[in-house]
Amino acid sequence: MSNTSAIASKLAGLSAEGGVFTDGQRVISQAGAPPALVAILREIDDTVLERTLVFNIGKTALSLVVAGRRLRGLAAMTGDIPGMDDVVGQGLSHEDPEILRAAGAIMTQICKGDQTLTVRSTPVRPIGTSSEVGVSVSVLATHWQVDLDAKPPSPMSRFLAANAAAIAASTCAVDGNPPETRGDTTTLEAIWDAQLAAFRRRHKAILGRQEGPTLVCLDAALDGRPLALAVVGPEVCLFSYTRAMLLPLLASWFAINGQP
Amino acid sequence: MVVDELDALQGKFAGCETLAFADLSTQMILVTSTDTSYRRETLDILCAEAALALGTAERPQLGVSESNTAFVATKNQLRIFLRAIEEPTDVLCCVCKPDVDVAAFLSDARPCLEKISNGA
Repeated sequence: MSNTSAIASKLAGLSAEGGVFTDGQRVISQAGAPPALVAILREIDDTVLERTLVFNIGKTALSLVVAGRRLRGLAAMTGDIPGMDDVVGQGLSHEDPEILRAAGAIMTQICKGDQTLTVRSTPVRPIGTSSEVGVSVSVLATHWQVDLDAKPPSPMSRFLAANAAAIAASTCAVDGNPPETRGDTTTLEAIWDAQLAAFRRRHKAILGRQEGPTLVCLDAALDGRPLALAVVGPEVCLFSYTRAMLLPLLASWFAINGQP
Repeated sequence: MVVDELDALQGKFAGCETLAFADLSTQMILVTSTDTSYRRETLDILCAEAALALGTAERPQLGVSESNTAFVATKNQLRIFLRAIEEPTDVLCCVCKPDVDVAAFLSDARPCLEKISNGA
C-alpha cells in the first residue's frame, strides 16, 4: 500500500467509525477489548497530522506526541510509574533502543488490567528535536511485543475468565454446538437438556425482542445453591456460582457488557 | 400505605428507577413507584419476567428448586425480583441502573417487601 492510499484508508475508517464517548473523550478500549496497548497503537497509526493525544486510563493521564502515524514521544504523564522520569519529555527514535524499551515498559505497566481507556486529540506540544520523525507503529509493536492482529477473546470468554474463582461448574456452548463443561455439571446438564430452550423461548416471548447480552442469576435454583444463565450473542453458558460472589459477578458483567 | 413504603425505598436509592409490588398468582402489578412513565404493557412484561425467573415451588422454570431472589442484568439495566417469604405469590419487581448499590438496596428492599406483604 502506498503512503497516500494508507492515509486515504485511515481517513475512510475514521469517518465511518461510530464512536462511544464519555465526558467528551472517546472510549477506545473497554474491559480489555481491544487490549489497551493495542488501542493506543491503533490511535497512533490513525493520526496523520501532528497532534498530542491524551489518553486516560484509571488514574493515569498520558500525553503522546504523534505525527505521520509515528510516535514522537511521551510529552507528559500523571501517576507514579517507575522509570517515567527517564522517558517523559524525551524524543523517541530507532537509534535509542534504551529509551524505546523504557517507554514500552511504562506503556505496558499503564495498560495492565481491563480499565476503560479514553483518548482526546489536542494541539501539539513540541518534544525532542525537530529532526526526529518518531517511531512507526509496526516498529513499536515489535519492540513492545504487541500483536496488533490478535483476535480479542469474546465478551463471554472474558466474563467467565474474570469470574473463574466464583464459578463452581459451567456448561457453555456457541451457536448450538455441543456444550463444553467444567466442574461437576451433572445437574447443569440435566437443566440444559430439559429446561434451557423453553426458558429462553419464554423469556424472548415476554420481552418481545432480543435484549442483547443477558445474565439471569437465581439465588437458590440448585437445591438452595445459586444458578446463573449468561447469554451473549451466540454464546450461552449455564453455571453455578458462589453466593458471596454475586456482587463482583454483576459488576464484572456490566464492566464487560455494559455501556460506558 | 403501600405506595408510601415503595416511594420511600425508591427515593433512598438514586439507582432505583422503578419499584412494583405484584401478585404472581394473577400476574398483576398492584402498586408502583417510578421515576419513569412506563406504559401498562411494560409493567406487565416486568411482572411476567418475575414469574418466569422466580418460578414456583412446584415448577421452577430454570433449576431444580425455587428461588426467592432473581437478578436479570442486561447491557444497561439490572432488574431485581424478590419473593415474599410468607406469601410466595407477593413479589417486588425492581428496575435499577447498573450502578445501584445492590447490597444496600437488598438490605432495605427485603424488609420493605415483607412489611407490605404482611399488611403492616
